[in-house]
Amino acid sequence: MDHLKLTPDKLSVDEITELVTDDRCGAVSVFIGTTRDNFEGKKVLRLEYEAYEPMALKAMKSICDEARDKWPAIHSIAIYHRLGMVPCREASVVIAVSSPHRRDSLDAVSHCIETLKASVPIWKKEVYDGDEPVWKENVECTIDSTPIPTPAPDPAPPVDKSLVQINVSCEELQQRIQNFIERKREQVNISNIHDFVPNNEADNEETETCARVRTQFVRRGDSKGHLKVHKVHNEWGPQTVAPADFYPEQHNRTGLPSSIAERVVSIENYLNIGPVSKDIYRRLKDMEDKIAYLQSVSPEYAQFWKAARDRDVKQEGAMDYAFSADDIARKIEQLEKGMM
Amino acid sequence: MEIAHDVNVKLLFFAQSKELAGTKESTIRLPNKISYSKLLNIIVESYNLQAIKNNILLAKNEEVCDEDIDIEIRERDSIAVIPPISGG
Repeated sequence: MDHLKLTPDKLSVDEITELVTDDRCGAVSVFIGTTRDNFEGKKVLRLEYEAYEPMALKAMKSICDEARDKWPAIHSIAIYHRLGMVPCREASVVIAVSSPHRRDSLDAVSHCIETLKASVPIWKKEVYDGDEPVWKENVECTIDSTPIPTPAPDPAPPVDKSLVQINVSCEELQQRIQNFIERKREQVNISNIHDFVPNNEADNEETETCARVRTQFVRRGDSKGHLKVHKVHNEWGPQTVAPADFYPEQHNRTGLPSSIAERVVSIENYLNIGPVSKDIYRRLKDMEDKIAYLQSVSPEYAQFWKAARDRDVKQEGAMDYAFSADDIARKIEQLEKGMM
Repeated sequence: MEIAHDVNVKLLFFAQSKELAGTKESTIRLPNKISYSKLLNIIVESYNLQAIKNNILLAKNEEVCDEDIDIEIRERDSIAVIPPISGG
């Protein structure tokens, strides 16, 4: 249980201790704050206390809650504070805490008085013999930095672990930053040298600068040089016709007299058949076949054949041709096939 | 923009601020919403508290006011001027 009181009456330690004593508790810890009779050589006549009472009681209640949070074994807490005029030697504050074992109550009572001095709105004026009275300020008072707590105040916000505090002069700090920049520059230079200058030539006289590029040929894949070569392989077209295909060579190979060879070639050209065979008899046979074919497909040009026969020295015996009905029927059949 | 309704609040002074203000309690008209610094300035100017301006806190209805949040004030609220404390 919590016993909280602000009173102008003299505090009785016995009564307050009795409030917290319990059969189950082996420890009652008591703090008594009393008034000194001197301050910095000045004689203190008395102290005058005043409080913002509703707020002070709230703050004292939150001290109790906080203590019970930290030391759950606590049984009872009593915080009594005296107000008004307090003569020297008398108690201004009494705090008593009971718990089953002494450690909890000892720690808790210490915590309570520290927090009370820091956060409970109570003020003390020291009245001196001869000097002006002074309103005191507790060193624990957190009034300038953190607000007076109703919930438990943390003394200081925890510092972010990633932040580093450096305690040096401005010049020293500048120097360190400069050193850092130079060291980084150096590292970048070295890595540039490794990148641009191959074969560990970085040790030569040019090491002071990174502004150099030494080219190096890097083979790619299965290349044989650093030049690219484009080749076009024509599968067909005028470029692919070899000169060997022309007839002068053919005459030489067939061994015909040039006059006969020329005439044979001109007939072949006229009939639109190529010189296929080296054998002259084979070529003559091809010509005859072609003429027979032309006669069969175009009988209406018979008179040209006769005229042509005069020119065609080689084919005299082959040309006098009469068509039987069977022949005509066969040709018609052939034509129909060809048209289909 | 909200229309600022003036409200009457009770001002409480303690210890040093009580002696400087020359009174324990007073009434003041305030807009229903005001920043902490504005309120502090008004009180310091009106009650002769310049000497301890940097050492006081304001508490509304027994709760210390947050300096970063605008204070909303209603009729019959009480605002306390809290100088550095010295209990114990």
